[in-house]
Amino acid sequence: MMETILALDGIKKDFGEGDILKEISLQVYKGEFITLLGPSGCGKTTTLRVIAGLEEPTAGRVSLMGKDVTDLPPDKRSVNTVFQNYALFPHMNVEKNIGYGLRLRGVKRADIKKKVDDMLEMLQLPGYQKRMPSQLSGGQRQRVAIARAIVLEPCVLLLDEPLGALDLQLRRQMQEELKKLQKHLGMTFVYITHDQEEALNMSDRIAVMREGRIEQLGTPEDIYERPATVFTAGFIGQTNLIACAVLDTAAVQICGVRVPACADGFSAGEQAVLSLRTERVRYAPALQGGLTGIVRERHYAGGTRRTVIRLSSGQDILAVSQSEGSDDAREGDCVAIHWKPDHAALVRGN
Amino acid sequence: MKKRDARKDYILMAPMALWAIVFVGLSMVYIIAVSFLKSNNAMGFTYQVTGENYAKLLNPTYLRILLSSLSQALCATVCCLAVGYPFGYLMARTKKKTRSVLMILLMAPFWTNALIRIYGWRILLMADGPINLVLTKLGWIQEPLKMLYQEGTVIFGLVYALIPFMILPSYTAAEKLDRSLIDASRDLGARPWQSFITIILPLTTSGILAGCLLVFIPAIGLFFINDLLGGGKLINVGNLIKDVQKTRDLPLMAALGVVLLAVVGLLLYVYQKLGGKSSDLNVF
Repeated sequence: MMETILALDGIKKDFGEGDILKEISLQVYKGEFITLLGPSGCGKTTTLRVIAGLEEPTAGRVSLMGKDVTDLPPDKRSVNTVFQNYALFPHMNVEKNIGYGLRLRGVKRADIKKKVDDMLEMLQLPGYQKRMPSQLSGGQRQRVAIARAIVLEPCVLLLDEPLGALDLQLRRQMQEELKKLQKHLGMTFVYITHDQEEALNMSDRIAVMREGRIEQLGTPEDIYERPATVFTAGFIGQTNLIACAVLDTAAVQICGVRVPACADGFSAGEQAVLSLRTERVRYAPALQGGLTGIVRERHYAGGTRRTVIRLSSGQDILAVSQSEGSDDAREGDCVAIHWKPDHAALVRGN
Repeated sequence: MKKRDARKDYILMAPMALWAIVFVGLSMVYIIAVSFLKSNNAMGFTYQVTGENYAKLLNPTYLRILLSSLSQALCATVCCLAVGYPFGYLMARTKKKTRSVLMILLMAPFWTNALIRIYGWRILLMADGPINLVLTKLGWIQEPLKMLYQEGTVIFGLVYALIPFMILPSYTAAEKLDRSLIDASRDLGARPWQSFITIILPLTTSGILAGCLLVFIPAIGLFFINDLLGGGKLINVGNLIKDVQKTRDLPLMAALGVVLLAVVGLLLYVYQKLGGKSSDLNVF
């Protein structure tokens, strides 16, 4: 049984112009890396600010290590935040920035110095003590912001799109470093991003958020392979969403053709949407029956090839395949489309 | 990119520079020169170099006036700071709409001459003025309050006239302050007052310094507030210069002016030493 370190129970937040958070309930386990993933405006940052105590929820409770902290101010919570724009204090050098929280706690000067030095060592910034934030690069500021928060050894570290301002290459590198750091410290991370690839790469669990609610909560594999809603299916990865009718628990009908699919929990005759990942679509020259379509476009994209196939319903299906295995489909060819039944997820339309 | 032609810049600056040289520079040189000449009641001064004008200023009466006008200005500055800084800070925190309304309210008095506005206060505060009238009618007081010709009233007048010069730089500094820095400090364990001391105050010091300077300097010399609200009981250097004018002792007046100039120069020097920028003094 995993130990719950942070629990959100029915959190609502209303800024007076409609609900930003409609109902957020979430259990975060000790030592896990959990990501709140969603488009901008879905309430991720507000959720984080509620956890930090920077925003008071309109309703609901926040508890940390079993204690209700809803009414505690931010300085009384063992939670620290890495802000989106880093929020380094511009009038303090690196040492002062990292030591800020320790100084407030009345830690002895010599101890602070030692901790700050260790932190800079760990984050590969040795000798940067006296630099001012304005003299640092984006990646360095990022590290200082992380150091400033983790030096206080919080129960939970909150990270608000910490890599958003970095360029792609540095971002990949920092993703790895952050993940390593989290494992090394054994610290609980609540991470915010709108980048689904980042979320899939780094997280133990992902909470997909939409319009102030958690749409789906699960492991990256759950979210990717078994999306629960059309929104999750469409937001994560590249997917084909195909309208279909449920025939029985093992098949659906698409364009009048019976196609095998796992439809547990659906009733016959129900309208649903089949989420089919673009890289899971296979096609072959149409010989007999099955779901067929006409090849409309072919694009060579280096490692992969993108093929657009139009179904008889007029919907385009995108198939992404490895470009090494050459196939001789050409524009205008009629092809049969197939996939392994467990590679497609059936979801209810909204 | 084409390199800027420095000579062109000089040509463009020339009219402004000329204006400054003629109307500020030359008159200042003239005043400084006159302050070292011997006074002559009939002619104003004679061409005879002397330091006696400055020696006269060492007279305890003059020193006391100089000191009292400095303390008066200091008092007004502290009051302005106490009211104006929080006002400017909170104003920067309000919504955009509220902010522009407040800004207009703040600017509106400038459309009327300060002398006239102070005259208005004089009428309001008089023994048989509207304030006393209303309070008596309401039965809250038996005797009219003696509000005019008090030291406090003069300070009030100075604060009233000069407070926009404290609010505006405070507001500008507070507006530039990144809100997330306050959040970060709270998040890292700072209580509200600790956040104020360690983050807000140091990052708005430029506004405080500029505001203090902009209030203190005019407060030393604003003579008409002492005249109208203080009834001449209190005098500052500005009043003194005006009074000496009656004796037609031009060199003495000049020397007083030079002393005032030196005080202001010293303040500007201290301001720059404390890290103040001249651009922060541009509030409008």
